[in-house]
Amino acid sequence: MRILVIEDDPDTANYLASGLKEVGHAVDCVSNGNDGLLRAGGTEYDVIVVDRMLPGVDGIRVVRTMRAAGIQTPVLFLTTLGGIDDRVAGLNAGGDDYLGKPFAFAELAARVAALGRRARPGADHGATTLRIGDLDMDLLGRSVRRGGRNIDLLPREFQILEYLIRNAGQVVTRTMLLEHVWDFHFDPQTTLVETHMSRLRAKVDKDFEHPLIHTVRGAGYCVRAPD
Amino acid sequence: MRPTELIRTASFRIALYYAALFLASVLVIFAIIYLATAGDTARQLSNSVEADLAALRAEYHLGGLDNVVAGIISRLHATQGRTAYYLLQTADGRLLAGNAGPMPPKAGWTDFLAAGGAGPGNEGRVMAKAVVLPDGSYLLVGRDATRLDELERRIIQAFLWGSVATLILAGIGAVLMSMVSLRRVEVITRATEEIMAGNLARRIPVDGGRDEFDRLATQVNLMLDRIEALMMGLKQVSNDIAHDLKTPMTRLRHGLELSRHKADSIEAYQAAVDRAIAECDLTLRSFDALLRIAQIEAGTRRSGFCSVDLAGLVETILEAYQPVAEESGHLLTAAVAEGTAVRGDQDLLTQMLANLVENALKHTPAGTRIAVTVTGVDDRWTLCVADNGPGVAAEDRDKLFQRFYRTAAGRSAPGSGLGLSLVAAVAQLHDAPVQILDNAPGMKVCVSFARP
Repeated sequence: MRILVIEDDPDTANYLASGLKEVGHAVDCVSNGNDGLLRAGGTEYDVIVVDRMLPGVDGIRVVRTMRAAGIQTPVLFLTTLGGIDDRVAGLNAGGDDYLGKPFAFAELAARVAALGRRARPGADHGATTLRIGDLDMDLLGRSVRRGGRNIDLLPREFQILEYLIRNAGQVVTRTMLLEHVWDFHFDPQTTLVETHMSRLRAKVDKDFEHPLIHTVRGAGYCVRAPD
Repeated sequence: MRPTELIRTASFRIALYYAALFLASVLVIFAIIYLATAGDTARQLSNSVEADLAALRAEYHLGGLDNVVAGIISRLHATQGRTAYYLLQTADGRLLAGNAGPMPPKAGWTDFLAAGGAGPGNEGRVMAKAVVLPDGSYLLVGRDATRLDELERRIIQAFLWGSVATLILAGIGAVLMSMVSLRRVEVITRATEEIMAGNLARRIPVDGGRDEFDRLATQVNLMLDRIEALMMGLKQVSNDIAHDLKTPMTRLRHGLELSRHKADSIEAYQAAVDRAIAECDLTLRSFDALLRIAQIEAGTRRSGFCSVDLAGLVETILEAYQPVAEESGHLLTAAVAEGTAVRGDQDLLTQMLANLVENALKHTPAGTRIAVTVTGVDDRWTLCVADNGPGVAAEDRDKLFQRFYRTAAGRSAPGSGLGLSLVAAVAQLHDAPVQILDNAPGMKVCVSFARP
């Protein structure tokens, strides 16, 4: 993917650029809002990463201006530590996701990937069934079958699996699950996600030869069809 | 106390205003007394003069001047010439009768001095009225006004003495009042000077008289209590932050130093780096929680309040934590009333309840029951998280809301010691009193929301 990073702190910008290049993206970095607007207007990007606090034109205004100019590229906001109001402000301005600084790089990479995938045409937005390997999910009937067998899932487990499958092949982090499945915007101090995941895996993977749900160490989870 | 200081006080000024007011009332009182006594006497005198004059004129009309002369002589005889004065003189100035000396004929009221008025050797004022009779002769009837003048003199004298006494008393009162208030003000000044010098525990003495100074002192003392608590809190927090962040930093440093010396393989270095990252994440988490609490305490989130259903909140949290509770051998239950809507911030209330449930899960052993309840009492909804675990000692309960506070027993459990501080901050944002109660056995945290 082609990614634009608008970040004034050179260390953070460097950290972002080198990390994103390493996982195979093309990255352009600019250090202020005006340059960011110029670049975003002139080049087709898959994802734009914007620091909320920028000298001159701040991140919120950059995104608002972009949206007003009809640029619909998905935007990931980087917000300051502990900013409880930043999420709402960022999303209201037209941002698609947010991440508080400092962050684990795996978290950023997973979110950038999810944003890029969401924006691509042909994604399974309107689909009523999802399929991965030998597992079928009926979104209308709320039922799951794998290898011809019915799998009984609790509503929350169904939601987790749906979110994982919609992001199949990509890493889904703990916080992404918390935000999208539970709408929790804080960091639980207990093994909340892990416990739900282990129950889901017990139902989905335990009796089958090839697991669909994989743990990505230090990052999160990933659903992949067996090779 | 310098005299100039006394004069500048508000009470001195007020006392002076009062002195002026008293003086005015003294004036009014004396005016009334004057009118009631001297005025009345004067009126009686003039009435008697008028009546006597009218009678003599009647005699003139009946029998001419001779009749008048006879009338005057008989009247002088009756009064022995002491209190009544008469004069009848012809048009050319010849005295016909009377005990008053000849005088130029002038009709109407007139005053003159006569010897031997009220007492022997005394010159007294005579109040008289005269008429010119049709034949040109001049008739005057007068009454001795010495007593009236004496009465007036006494009244005025009494008024003057009264005024002087009023002024002196008011002056003394003013000085006394200003001395009292100056003394109180000086006590307060000394106390505030001590406080400014750094003795934050000093308070303004209260007399117990419940006067305005005491009320002021009580209010100021309450304010000082609050300021002292805030200062102590600030000091406590900065100490705690320094201490609590120093610990993981020290651990991080030791770990890095150790691996620098001991690690002999790529794997060992990687493991050391992973440990260091985890340690950093923990510290950052503490920072994040601290800043979050500070932002919540700032109160800006209040503008985004909307209706939040406590029952729905409990359901979400219960559903999320049920598996966690089962894994750790806890029994998590909920009992929620109907229609439990409050005004608040959905995200923060969710986190608050999650923190309370996590707190119970972390600090109680397997087999403990944790009950989340929402009950309606009067016009409030009370959200409680209760457990029947080991509980917390009474003296520790209030400290649980302090940042970084951890009980001796709770220190071993993972966490930052900020969970309940955040609960307290969220509760405060919602104007919802939060209490830690003894669940006998166990602990019960209750947050009481006002119904919208």
